[in-house]
Amino acid sequence: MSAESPLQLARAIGEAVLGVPGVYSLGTGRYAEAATYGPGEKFVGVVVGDDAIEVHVVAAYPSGTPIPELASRVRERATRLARSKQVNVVVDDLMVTADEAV
Amino acid sequence: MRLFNRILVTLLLVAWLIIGIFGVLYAFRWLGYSIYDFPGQVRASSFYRGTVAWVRSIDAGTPGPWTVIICVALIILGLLLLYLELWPRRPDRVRLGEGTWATRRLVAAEAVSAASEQPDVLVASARVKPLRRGGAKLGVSVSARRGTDLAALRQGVQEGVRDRMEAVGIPISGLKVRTTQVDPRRAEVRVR
Repeated sequence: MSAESPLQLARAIGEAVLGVPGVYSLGTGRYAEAATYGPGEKFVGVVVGDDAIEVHVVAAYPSGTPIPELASRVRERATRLARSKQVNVVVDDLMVTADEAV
Repeated sequence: MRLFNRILVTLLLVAWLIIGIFGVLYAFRWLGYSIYDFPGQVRASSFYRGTVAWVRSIDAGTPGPWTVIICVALIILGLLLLYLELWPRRPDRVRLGEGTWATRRLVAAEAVSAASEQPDVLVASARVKPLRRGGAKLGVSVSARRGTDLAALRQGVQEGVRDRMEAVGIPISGLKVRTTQVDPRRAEVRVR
């Protein structure tokens, strides 16, 4: 699959990454919004740059998967669409999803 | 740290360009400009007198004490700015591996969560210092009620935080636990 614009690429990667078990949602960035911008719209959670793509995720906790392993699964899924760009994964937060959410 | 940002460099280059243009005009006596007239045109004679007197005092080896103090301060300031400019920035995220990062907020939240699971802990907070080589240093502060065995609490918090970080997959290079005793009525959380 090959997306046309950076915005479409970001959207395709974002949707693919959300299918990785252990990913709760896409992240929004910490100090600056992590987003790819297009004419009149944006996609938050994936930053498509000239040389690299940054994928921000919120991991589900407990998922039984250590963060580095989850990140490598995310990278693997994103790399398939990344047009040979480097993929960096940033875990923004953990979201308690099971019984621990009191 | 990058002190010389794009705006400053742009202003510097514009100034350089203007000086260059006037340098050429004066050097080749174009448009009636002559290098001999330059001090008069910029009205620099009084500045010159002060400068010449200052240079002569330096040359004679009799600089005033303020001159020495200002020169030393300028040298120190210059070295400090050079150091800040050349030293690489500390990462603001915790590197977990090649191309994998976690935010400091995430690491701190996990440490606080793990520390708070200890039965005697009333309040916990954490400071995260990302390291350039990857991983982070952690400083965890916990408060417990008066009469608590702080040594045992410290050990329990250390083990709990280390176990949690290992389970989550965050490499920790150094973990310091600071324990304090507080009056439960003044603690910021409900007493268990």
